Amino acid sequence: MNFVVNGLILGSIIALGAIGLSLTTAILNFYNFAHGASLLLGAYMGYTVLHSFLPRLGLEGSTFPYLSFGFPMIIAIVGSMILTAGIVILIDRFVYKPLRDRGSGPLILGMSSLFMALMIRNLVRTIWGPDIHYYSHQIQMSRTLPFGIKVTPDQLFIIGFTIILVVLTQLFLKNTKMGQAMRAASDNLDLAMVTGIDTEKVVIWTWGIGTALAAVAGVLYGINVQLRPMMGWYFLLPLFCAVIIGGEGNFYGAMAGGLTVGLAQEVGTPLLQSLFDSLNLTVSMTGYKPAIAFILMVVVLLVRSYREE
Amino acid sequence: MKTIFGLLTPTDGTVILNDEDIGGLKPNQIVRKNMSYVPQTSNIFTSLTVLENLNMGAFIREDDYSDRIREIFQIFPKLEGYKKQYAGKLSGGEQQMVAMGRALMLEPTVLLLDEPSAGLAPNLVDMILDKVKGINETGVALLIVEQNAKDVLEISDRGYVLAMGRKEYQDTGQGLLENDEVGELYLGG
Repeated sequence: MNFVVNGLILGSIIALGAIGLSLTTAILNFYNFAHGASLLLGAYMGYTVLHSFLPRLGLEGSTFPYLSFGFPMIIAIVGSMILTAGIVILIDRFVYKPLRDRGSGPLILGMSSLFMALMIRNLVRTIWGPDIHYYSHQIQMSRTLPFGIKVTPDQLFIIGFTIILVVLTQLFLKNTKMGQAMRAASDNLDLAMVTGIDTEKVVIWTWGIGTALAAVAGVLYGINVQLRPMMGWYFLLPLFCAVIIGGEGNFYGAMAGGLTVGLAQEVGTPLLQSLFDSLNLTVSMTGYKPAIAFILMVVVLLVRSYREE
Repeated sequence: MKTIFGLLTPTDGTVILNDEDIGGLKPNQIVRKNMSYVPQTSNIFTSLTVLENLNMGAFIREDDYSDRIREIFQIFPKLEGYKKQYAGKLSGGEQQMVAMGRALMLEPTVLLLDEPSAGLAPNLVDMILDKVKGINETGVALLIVEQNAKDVLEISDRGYVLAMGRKEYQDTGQGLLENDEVGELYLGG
């Protein structure tokens, strides 16, 4: 039962990341391999705001009841969203936009995003060091809920915060002009252009919203586990898997895909482990978690029916 | 038609609208010149509701355009009942109405229609062409590319026959219909 809770937590984090990736894939028509790096950057930006900026303003130390962090963490999350989104929008202006204007295809854009991912990862390693970081060194006791579910208050916060953000994003996409334009552009970019929608503005908003959500996902992962320079890279496969399962540009699809991948990884691993154990095979499954996402993606690609364009 | 609307760059010739050369302008600049375009295929946002499609048609409008939406629903009364429906769930004829409604949101003086009757059942073709005539009577000039030439020529003031990209015949709609040569070569007798 606890695997399910772990799956939901990981799934929430993947879902937040996948929403942004799904939107950029559909609107910009390339696979942004640097989206994992947005999670990474978000997590470390949060760390810097929390441990470098806020203490100078005298904001530190206080914690919410039960949680391992307090109000400064909320400021750190918001700060990380703004900073990370700003950096990625700048990258778009200086790297992807010139390429788009020159008519570069998805392959060129995808490859340059791969280089951006490597650059960001190594910059993070240079600036913050290769060691593992934690937002808080406090050890949290997990509490036992009905049905024997063990969960820490932090983990409940992660799920709750994700739900709030998903609802807010959905309201934005549904009820604002820019949100509707983002959906329109991801539905049919050519038509969006002939309709007069300012697609460049839509692109900036898409990067902004998608990256801000990824930044939160990075911080939430940091709260739940730890911060390390490779975390963005490890998220890339589950993120793409979630987007492909959910369908590019599909908001609910990305969410459902994220939860599916998270659950499959956390529930599938122990299930396969016990299967191998019962067959007396000495295989340790823990290293193969991402493989489950990969297998899932391959199965979906094989089974899914394709829309004709 | 794609060239007129700035999706393709003209290699030769000029595109003139109201004495202004608009050749080479981008689509989002052209819509500000009071010209709208309904592409032949994928001309609606399928994952948006009918109302959202109309909102997108008015994307560049900063003013309150609720009156315009009411007018569109007067032209296409059927759409009002479906305004909260996803446009992709509507029938072909209804989708064509959404597409034209979307293009009319900017109150264009010129409307480009690319094969408005393509893929529609014959009775729907008549209905759509009726609407086209109605739109024209409200003072909108229409430029229509159509394979189903007979029906459209009947309601056209002017007609042009293009063959291999060159203009072969030019006359009033009625004139082309009565032209024996055009009839034999292009309209199937």
